[in-house]
Amino acid sequence: MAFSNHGVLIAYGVNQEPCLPTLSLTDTDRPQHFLEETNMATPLIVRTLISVGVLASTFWMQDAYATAAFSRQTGEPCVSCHMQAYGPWLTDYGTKFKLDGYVAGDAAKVPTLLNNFSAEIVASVTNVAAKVPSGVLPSTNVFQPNARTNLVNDWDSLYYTGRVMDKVGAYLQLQFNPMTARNVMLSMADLRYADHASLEGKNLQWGITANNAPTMSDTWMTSFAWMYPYTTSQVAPQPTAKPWLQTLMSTANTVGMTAYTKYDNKYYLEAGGYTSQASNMANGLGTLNGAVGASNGSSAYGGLLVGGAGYWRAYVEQVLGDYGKLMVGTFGLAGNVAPSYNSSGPTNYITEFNFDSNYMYMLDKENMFMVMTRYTRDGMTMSGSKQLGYAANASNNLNQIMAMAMYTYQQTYTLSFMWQDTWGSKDLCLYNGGCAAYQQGVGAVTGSANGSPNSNAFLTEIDYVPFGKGNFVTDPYMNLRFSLQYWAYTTFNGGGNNYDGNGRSAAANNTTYFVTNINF
Amino acid sequence: MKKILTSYKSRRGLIPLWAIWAALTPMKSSALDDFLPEEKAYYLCAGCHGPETGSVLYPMPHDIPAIIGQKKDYLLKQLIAYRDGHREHPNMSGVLGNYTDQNLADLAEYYQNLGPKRPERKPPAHPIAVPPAVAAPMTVPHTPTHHHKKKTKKPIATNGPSSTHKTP
Repeated sequence: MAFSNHGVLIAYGVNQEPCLPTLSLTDTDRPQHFLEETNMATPLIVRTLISVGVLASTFWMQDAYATAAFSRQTGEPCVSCHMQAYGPWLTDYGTKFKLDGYVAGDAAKVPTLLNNFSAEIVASVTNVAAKVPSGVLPSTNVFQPNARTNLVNDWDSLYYTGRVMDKVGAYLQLQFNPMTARNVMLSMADLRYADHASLEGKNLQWGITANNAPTMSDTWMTSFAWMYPYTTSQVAPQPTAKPWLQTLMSTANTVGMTAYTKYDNKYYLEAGGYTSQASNMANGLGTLNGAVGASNGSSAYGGLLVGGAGYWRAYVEQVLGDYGKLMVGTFGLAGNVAPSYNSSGPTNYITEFNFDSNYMYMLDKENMFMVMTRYTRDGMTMSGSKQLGYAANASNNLNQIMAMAMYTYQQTYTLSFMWQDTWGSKDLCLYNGGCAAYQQGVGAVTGSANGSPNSNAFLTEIDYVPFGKGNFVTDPYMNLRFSLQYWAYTTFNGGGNNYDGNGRSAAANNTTYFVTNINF
Repeated sequence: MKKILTSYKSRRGLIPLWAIWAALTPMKSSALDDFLPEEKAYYLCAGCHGPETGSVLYPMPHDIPAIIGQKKDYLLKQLIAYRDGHREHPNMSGVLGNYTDQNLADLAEYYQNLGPKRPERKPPAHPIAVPPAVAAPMTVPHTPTHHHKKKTKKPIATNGPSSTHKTP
């Protein structure tokens, strides 16, 4: 969904989220919080933090990686900080670099004024097993909705990353997405102050980060900001029901601050809060003036965060043997939500718990293995959605489990497998764009005839990263990755056959996706 | 100008990112100038070499040279060799380009003073042959006291003393 320039909420099938009924919101009937103006009398530091946090809010958060600017700053190849020589899988050194505030390094391979800048171009070819009807997915002059195969420019980004001051660093991504909104947005932002101390002879890192979405500050690929797979097709159907934090990450119109500490390189603790961006901030960043910004309200149970939502993150790392490391952790968010930016009724209360683990094993310099798992549980008290006609039930739940195994050879060739299962309570309104939309019929491809959020997917991926190892002339100025994915669905939006009541099967959404990322 | 400054309030305009960039850029300073040697070591070296480093899985945990307590002269020569391109390693070759001899000497002295002093050793009866490709002089003889229990499949890329050769 999107807010037009005239303040009209437009039904828009972005991100394969169900389209809610078209609403007309004027400046007077928008929620008060939504109309909140940024107070220019606010102290400069507060405005700065808010602005930076807002800068982070955009879409497709999971599509960003480390940058060539980091490499130029440190003078080291990408492989120093990233397994597979391309983000986002962090090495221990890369994790330290992030928690230290992106400030390490004095190489300055290009003039200071330019060193923080880098760019990324992503293009892909997508083949879906069966044609997707017109209007279901975002359309451009390149994308052909009725074609099974499409060649598209997924997005283009400009980054400002690295040291700003001695102990202050930034990760900002300005993104142009030709597939959806066709406007420029600040999709990722993380501004952090970090320092360190010695406690009982052990290293104690600590810091404060202002960022635009929960998990943006995280360092593991089990979190939604950096989740595997690294890139997904925007012109292929995806299951409607997604965890709450994944929705917030993909829309990125929140802002928050967290404080974190890591002791002895083992024990990590982070806590903070998030809220939705004020309208001026969102407008200024482009998150409202396109399909993406307002899509926060178009998700099955997304909307405006009312007040503050509490965020937590904790994990423990343990070295196992000479070449292995295990991480076990949890993260989540809890808060009140005005569904679809409509605060005329009671709010929903959503709590999301995540439990994740990661085990990596380095057989030698050329052979690396990694497995990771995540379990997500969303508890949703949906008083607001039920009263306003967005949900049939007063409470719902959504669960998801993800398990992935990966093998990397020579930091260049990667083979990975993932299984992702989603299940939860049935709600005919919630997963069909609201009760009014459901009464008009279940939407083809994106709808669920039985109101179930259940989906089951298998992913096989092959990656090739030719550079980034410090042994080619392109280092540390450019990096490149080719990825080939195959998605297979056995259940999609609640069924295997005719899940949308329009005759479409889950297997019809099986997708082959070849994507190229170039960062320079 | 007024229009630009107020574009923050415009419905469609982006927050002028150039203004943020302009505001941030002057604050940028060089850690080379401001940081003490221990701070340089923390940000530049400690991620792999310690101190206070946990297990570093990449590069291979047992391939990372142990430099704590190493002699200053030896460390300095290696650092200069890396900086000047006489010695190469993917993770080391690019990081020291802007460091002066004094910067590197400070780092070397910091690491020398950080750990227990190494015992004086007599020169070997037969000088160690240095491969031609390793132009950096390795004048400090070093006798391993023990070996780690697993063999790596390939030779270690670095040529300096490694953590497999720890000196008590």
